[in-house]
Amino acid sequence: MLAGGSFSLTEACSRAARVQVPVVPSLGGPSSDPRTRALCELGLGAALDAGASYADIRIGDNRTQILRTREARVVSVNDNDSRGFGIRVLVQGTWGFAASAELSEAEVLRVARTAVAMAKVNSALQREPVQLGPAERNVANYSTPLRRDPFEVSLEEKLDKLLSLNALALKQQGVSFVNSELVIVRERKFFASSEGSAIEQMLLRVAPSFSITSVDQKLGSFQTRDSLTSPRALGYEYVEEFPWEDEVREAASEAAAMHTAASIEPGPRDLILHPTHLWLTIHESLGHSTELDRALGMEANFAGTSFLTPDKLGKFQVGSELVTVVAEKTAKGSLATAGYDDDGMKTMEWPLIDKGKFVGYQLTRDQAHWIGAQRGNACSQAESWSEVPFQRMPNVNLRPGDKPLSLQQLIEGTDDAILIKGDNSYSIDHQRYNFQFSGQTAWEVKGGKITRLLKDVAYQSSTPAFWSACDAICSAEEYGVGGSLFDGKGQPLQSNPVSHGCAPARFRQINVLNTGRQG
Amino acid sequence: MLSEERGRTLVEQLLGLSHADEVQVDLESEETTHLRFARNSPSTSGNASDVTLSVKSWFGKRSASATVNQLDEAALKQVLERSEHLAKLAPEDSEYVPNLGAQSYPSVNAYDDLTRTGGAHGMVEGSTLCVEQARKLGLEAAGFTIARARSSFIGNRNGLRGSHRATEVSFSETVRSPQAGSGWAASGANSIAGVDYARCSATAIGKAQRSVSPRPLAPGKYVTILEPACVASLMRSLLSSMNQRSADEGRSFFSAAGGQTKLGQQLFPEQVTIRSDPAAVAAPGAPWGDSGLPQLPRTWVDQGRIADLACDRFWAQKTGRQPIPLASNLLMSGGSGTVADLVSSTERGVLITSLWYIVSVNPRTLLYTGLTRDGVFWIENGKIAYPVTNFRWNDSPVSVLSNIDGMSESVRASPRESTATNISVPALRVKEFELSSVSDAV
Repeated sequence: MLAGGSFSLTEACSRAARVQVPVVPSLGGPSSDPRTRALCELGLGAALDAGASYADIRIGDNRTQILRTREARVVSVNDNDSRGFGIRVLVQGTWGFAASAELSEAEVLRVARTAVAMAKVNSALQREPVQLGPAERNVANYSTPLRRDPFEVSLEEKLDKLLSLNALALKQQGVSFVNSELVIVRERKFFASSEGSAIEQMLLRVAPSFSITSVDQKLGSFQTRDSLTSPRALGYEYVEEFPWEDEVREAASEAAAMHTAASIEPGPRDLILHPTHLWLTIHESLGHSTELDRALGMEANFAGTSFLTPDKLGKFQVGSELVTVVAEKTAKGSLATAGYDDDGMKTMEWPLIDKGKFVGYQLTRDQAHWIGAQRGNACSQAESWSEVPFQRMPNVNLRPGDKPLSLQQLIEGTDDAILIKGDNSYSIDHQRYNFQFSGQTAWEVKGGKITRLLKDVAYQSSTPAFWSACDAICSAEEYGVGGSLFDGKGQPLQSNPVSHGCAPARFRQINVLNTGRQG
Repeated sequence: MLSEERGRTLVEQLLGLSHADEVQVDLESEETTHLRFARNSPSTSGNASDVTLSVKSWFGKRSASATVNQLDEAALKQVLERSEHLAKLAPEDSEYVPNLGAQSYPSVNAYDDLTRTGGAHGMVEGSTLCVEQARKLGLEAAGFTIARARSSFIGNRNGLRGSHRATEVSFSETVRSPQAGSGWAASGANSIAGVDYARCSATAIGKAQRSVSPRPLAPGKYVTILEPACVASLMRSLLSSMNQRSADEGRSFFSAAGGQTKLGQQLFPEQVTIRSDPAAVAAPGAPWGDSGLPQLPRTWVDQGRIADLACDRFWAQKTGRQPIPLASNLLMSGGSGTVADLVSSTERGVLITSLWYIVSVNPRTLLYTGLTRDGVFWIENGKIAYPVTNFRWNDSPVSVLSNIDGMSESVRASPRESTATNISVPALRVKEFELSSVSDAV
């Protein structure tokens, strides 16, 4: 739409020599193509020639395989490839970005000039020129550690795994339907910047799951129990080693039992939240509220702002002294883990909440100066080559308790509570105060024992009140990791993967609703 | 964006190269340009062009799909080979149905060439106007505008062919006041000329100014006016759940006791009619849906009665019905007048601008939860009396439609959570809407 203007290809190619992209040991991704470095040099050179003070290019090669089944049937087998490149430029303190699927010299030049043209047009409105933090010149590669590449596993083996889960589920009493799926994502990207960075990364994720439905025609009721699995940044070994048979039997039994489970009496109740559930509560209430772009209004038109404004940094008690939360993009198997972010900065770990006190934000390179920080913490990420990188959530984890405490001991030490497992419905307001969550199953805890299954359970609270009510966190042996491939933010909406680790935790007197009686 | 000629040629080329028993080609090319601003300054902008070429191959009852975004000869070969290779490995599909034959698709007028070639300039001008108006008043604007130009092609060996092109532009803006007020407005159209940046700016500024210092209101059920953006969110959730198979299988709100369904039941008052028609000027949609089924004009809720449920081709064949694709647009009939007219005829109640973070809570009752956002007001004696706090709500589109006691005219509306331009709905006044707890968010 915005034309890049007329240009001479020959002239541009000769000028491109002003940017030299270092050689990176290839991981079989874009840098294995002998044209890649030359195209990067061409694009970066053209952007600088057109007036950019900084430029970077990301060449992406993404493959996704999605296998879906229901009962004894394969519903769909989809295998998707997406390749292309995006060029980001800084001109007169304003970002510009353009992308294309066509990797040719002429298109690289057009896209570089379009990005610069967009930045120039928009700079007329600019009141807060972008300030990049200190440069890091990184020449490196990074690959998700894995033992078995899921794309090398035969289609038959993967479908057999799903269909065998379905067959087992259908043998269980009360099971009417079962769906299962396996999603495999491989993201290969090559990043080069006008500051001399060159980074190749291969990020891999697998997401196996199933959902069992029990229909009781006499009661006119249906109940669904989703698997308590989570996507991980691991190889096919995750699928092979997961205890599927136990999980299928448990899910089937719980779906069938839900028809006649006791409906919850609403009111303030103590909650024990399992890691398969608590990860999402952490994500929504503490993950998003500690994003600096939200706190400063950059996401005000869509994702929202945050109650954790900069004046609260280092001062505000957001939870009890048991609550320590760290951010990282380095944990093996976690979904936001990478060697480098999409600004080309090396990933790291840092505190967000220390003993209940709000002490840190998630930052990109160009946000650090807003709060007087020396550098960002490598939180820049784009969904794909065609999207603008911006601040995205790292893995945000609740530290386990220091004192030995198993889930069993926590239950034994609780007189009256509800134990919630698995994630289900989740909603939170645009400043991350008021939330409402529910799980896959809810269990009554009475006198230190799990007594019965409950249904229609959801809880509502406000972030600071909820985390201040945390009075117990289990120790490290109970630690588990949950996550999602699809954390949405930004306009146009981008989905990014993220994980959250935690141990079971107890929260006192949280408002519980009966969702069977609402509306 | 692929031209008509290039798109059709590629489809024919792929059909000719295929070795499968049956093959369907779906090809889409898209060019987008967007601009974001926040804190009265541009934040990011982008221009992207991409294609999606999907090939689904069948060998007998075995099938698989592959997708690429390159159109050179190697990519065409790769996508065919991969889909054929995977299809041969896939087990036989017990729900196989043969490919459709030639279809007649409705003519949809949703393309504006001026928007494709020059839309970006209009977007910059519109956004600049909005930012400057907010800045002059000491307010802070954040917004997003995007233009899309898309061409789509479909074909198979049984003679099915289709092509369609469309442009879409959408804009939304949130204006915030230093005194903790916030207002939002949005506009969407198929051309840049149809997007009213000035009206959005005036509306968002007006709401930001009027929502300063909200007063407390106890949670509870209130007479409520839901502006069109709220209704768009709720009706989209309702329409997406109207599925014949899940109703027949007993796992839907539309299931009824004894293995029956609610198809044909009068669930809502007679003033409720919800249709889809891709050719509707009010909010056009795509001319074909699942498997290439034509999107014919259809009434989903006819004067309160459930008239149709979406039904895939296999289930239609099995149960002796006509296949019905999921709707590609949503048209809810309205009454007359505007939101202001509904306010002026309301003695006491709540006016809600938009709904946010809407998720399913109970699929058996279609209970949803979400928040109010960017303008909630108390109405007294036909006038907006004062702003009130935001709320979490727990309610359902079923309850909302059952409790209607006033409708404005139907207007094109964007749900708060999307940039969709294919929805036309009225504002609704309902006898009760459950605001279940206070949200401190501003």
